[in-house]
Amino acid sequence: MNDSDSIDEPTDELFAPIRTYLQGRLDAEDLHLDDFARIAVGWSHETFLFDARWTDEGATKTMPLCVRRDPGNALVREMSDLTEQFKVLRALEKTDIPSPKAYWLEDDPSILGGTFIVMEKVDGVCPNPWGRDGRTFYEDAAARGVLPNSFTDALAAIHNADWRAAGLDFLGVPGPGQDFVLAEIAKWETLIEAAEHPAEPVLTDLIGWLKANAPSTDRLSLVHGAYRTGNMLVDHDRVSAVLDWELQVIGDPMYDVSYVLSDLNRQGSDLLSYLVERDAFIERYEAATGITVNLDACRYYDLLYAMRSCAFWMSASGLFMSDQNTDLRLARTAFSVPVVLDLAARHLGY
Amino acid sequence: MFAPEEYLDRIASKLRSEIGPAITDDYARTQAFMASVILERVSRQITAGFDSEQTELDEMRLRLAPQIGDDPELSALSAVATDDTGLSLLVESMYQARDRLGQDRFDQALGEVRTTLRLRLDRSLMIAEGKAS
Repeated sequence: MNDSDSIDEPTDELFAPIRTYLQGRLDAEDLHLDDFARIAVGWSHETFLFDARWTDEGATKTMPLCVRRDPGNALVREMSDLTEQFKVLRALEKTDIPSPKAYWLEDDPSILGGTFIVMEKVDGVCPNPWGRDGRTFYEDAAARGVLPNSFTDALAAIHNADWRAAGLDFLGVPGPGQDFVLAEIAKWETLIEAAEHPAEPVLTDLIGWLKANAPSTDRLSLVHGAYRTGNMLVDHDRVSAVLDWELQVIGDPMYDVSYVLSDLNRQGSDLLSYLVERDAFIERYEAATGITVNLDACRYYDLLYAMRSCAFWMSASGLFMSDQNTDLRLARTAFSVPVVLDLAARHLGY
Repeated sequence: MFAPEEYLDRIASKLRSEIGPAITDDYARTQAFMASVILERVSRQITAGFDSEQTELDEMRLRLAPQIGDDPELSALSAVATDDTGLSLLVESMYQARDRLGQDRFDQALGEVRTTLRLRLDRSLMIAEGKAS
């Protein structure tokens, strides 16, 4: 008998339903979920990690697993459904992008109370770059020099992926010209409208400027949409899995590059994402992809990210104000809106 | 009787320095700290007041008149731009009227509105961050 058999079962209310579900899936009556933990990350879907262990024809089998569940009141829930995530993860298995294998998708709410997916638990850690410990982790890794290259290579793998062959065109393929950018603006405008936040004239100005100055997109790639440290697992100084496949689109690869270059993800640090030197990133990225970094486009997308940030914070505080989520951290985000708008206004020259 | 903002500051301080640290549950402790942060900002919002807003908007309309005076739609929107909703409508309509106005006039008119938006944004920043930009 394994030691963990004698330990009390976790008190989490979803432990028993998850085990019951997996007993059926794995045909494992004696199933144990070792090291079961609900991890607190972000305000999106709930995440549970554990090692499934059972006996099959006298042999012990193990399977490291991750369950992600839609709690029904997640941030940006309108544009981040688990069904799409599951399809994306399945498609990514046909590419060189490091990502977890997706095993099962369930949309029957009677099982866990909401849609959920079961996927591989990949080895690695995901330090939070906004905390002191996380920043130290990435800056130490930067000094060793391996992880910065892996970070850049994983982004190159995303942009080099043959998304049509992988079946990712279900994400929607923009037409030529400004189609990608205008669709992206429209998507975030929808979130802003749904948040029912009081009018912000600086944001109206920003959106007007973005529409009036939308660049053309001449190359389409799979775009992660939030590529930074904290959205990936790191194992032995390498990116073992790119996570948070929630905002991906088919679009301009500069959209991701801009996010990497953005000051938003490296406050107080010279290192992009607290990890990568800017020149080294650009040089390695261009060599790995054959794509020349377009800094004008990146500056434009930086402002689009400001709009996105406003949409996030408005949506977050809107969840609180509409009683859909009582977490006061969401209420506090209303005060982040003017901070982002200040950055945008300065970009626009006032 | 204490002013409302003083009450809020005191409650925020108590939450941060006494109640929060005494809570052992991580989530509940974070909530206490968040409550203190929010109360501080609401207190600043009360303190900041809005005395200068109407004057700023009147001045903006005067500055805008030479740019949009002959445009009935924008003139009407300027006249009723008395709050953030009205200002948003005005800005949105200015972008829609860009071709009609011509680039130079559009830039000048938007610049006048932006001067006012900057003042309003500075006040919001003072509330959000506790400092002027």
